[in-house]
Amino acid sequence: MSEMTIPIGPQHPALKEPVGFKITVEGERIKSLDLDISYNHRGIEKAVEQRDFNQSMYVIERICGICSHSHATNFSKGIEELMKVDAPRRAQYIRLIVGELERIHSHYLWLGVAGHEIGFDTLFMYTWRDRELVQDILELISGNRVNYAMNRIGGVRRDLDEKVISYTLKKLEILAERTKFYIQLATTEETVIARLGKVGRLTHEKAKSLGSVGPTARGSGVNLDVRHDDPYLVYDEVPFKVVTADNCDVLGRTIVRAGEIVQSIEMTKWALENLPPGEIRKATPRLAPSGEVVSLYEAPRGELIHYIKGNNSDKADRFAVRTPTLANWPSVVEALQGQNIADIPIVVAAIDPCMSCTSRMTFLDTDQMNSWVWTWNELREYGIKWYRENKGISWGD
Amino acid sequence: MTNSSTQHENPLVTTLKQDLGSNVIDITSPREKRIFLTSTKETYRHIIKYLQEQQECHHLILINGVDLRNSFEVVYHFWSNKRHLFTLKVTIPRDNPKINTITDITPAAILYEREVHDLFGIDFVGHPDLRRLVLADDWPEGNYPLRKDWKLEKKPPYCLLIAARIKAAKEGKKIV
Repeated sequence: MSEMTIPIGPQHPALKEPVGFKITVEGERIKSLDLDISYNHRGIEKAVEQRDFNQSMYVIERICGICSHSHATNFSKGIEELMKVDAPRRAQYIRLIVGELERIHSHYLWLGVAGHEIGFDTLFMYTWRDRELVQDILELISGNRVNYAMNRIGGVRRDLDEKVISYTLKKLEILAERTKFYIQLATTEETVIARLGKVGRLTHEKAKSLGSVGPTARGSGVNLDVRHDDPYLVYDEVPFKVVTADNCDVLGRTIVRAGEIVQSIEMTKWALENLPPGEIRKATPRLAPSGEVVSLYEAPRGELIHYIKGNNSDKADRFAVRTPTLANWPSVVEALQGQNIADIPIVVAAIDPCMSCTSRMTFLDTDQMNSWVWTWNELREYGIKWYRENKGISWGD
Repeated sequence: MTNSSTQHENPLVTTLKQDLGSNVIDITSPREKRIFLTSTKETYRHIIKYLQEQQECHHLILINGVDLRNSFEVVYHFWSNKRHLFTLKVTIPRDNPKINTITDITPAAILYEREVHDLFGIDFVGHPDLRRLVLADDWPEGNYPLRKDWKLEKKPPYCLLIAARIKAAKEGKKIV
């Protein structure tokens, strides 16, 4: 049978975020894959290099909508290392608690998406309903459902009081019960096993040589977890296990994520019960000395790296980010070789890709050689007005 | 671990100094599990091979560029199996930003080298596929946004480029 090239994306019903695939197939089988991830570059590294540390915190929080706390914590602990100051212990505990809650919400979100991709929408409805429990906790702690803005250089911005702690512990009990159900489902339910088992194979050796990270690597039996290997915050005090699976397929990655939810719930409970008293932030110098820091963090998707170079000023001379998704793309290319076209959505979703999307619109006035940006409301009003005037359609006010 | 502790004494630094000798310019260990090495364009591949074979650094985690104003620095970060983080810095001249690829010894380097090439204009000689990775397809050639002499303009340059093309088309001119 002759080979054929199919483009998928950047806009496609099977994709949640813009990414372009060029797939060469022979019949239904995938022979090779080429990907284009250039649709979301926002120049955040350059933006951070031109802002001082406090302003940068707001930018960095917005690198990702799902793991915003990971980026903000990683940056602030990197700058603290550069300035040679330590955040108070209570602040480190609060960072850990929010970080683990974020992992729970992210893995629940992923379970739902995975269920949806394999046509098991009941799982999607269930997990996203239960995920609201974590979202409520995060909203109570930080005031926000996403972009919690908990961090600042030298500590955290909000404290936890007794009311929040008892509410969180109560909700975590319910969540722990539900998680048991999902673990049972992931390991015994026939639909899940038939649809995820032996799909998206990634051998132990390949996972290592391609530099995979996070649940993708741990689902192939690679014991790699920054929280364990290079303990930051107070991860050397909180008891936990690194979850791995030897399945080397999408099912393995699912089992790892489900197991990590249990670990995260236990860790959050332990940290809440052993929360040390004291202040939550420290005054820090405005300038950071020259030097360089490699700051690592285990984000829900895997190892996250910030490389920060200071030069005796209030700005970073160089700020480089490596998100776990970039490290995991080569493993997707590997895992899709020889698979069916129908497996593309779930194999891509199995690394939990995060393209970090923000939408805004840029306008060009070709006569004036001008460009400007519209806000969402301006765009909405323009749309309503256009349809009312040109098509006679009215959506009310 | 505390940040306020002073220079960390790491026995690994002595071992590395003995093994690498004059191939390496400087080795420091600012804290536990962190080792920074400085090397030259001629010897860095030798050091990477040594790290892979002798220190079990099989996991490349990042390659990034740094603009040092008069020159560029390419920075390689490796995890070792014993969980030490090795950071290898190589300086290359600004007027001839070329360095040999390491994709032949570390396949994980493919995307990272493409990203550095895209944003800094550093040429990785011998890379199998040095296409654009993160910048838009119509981003003008020769614009490397992470170089310090590239200033962030109010208007994205590619917008103006498209605007010029559309205007030319409207006036019936040939589109360039």
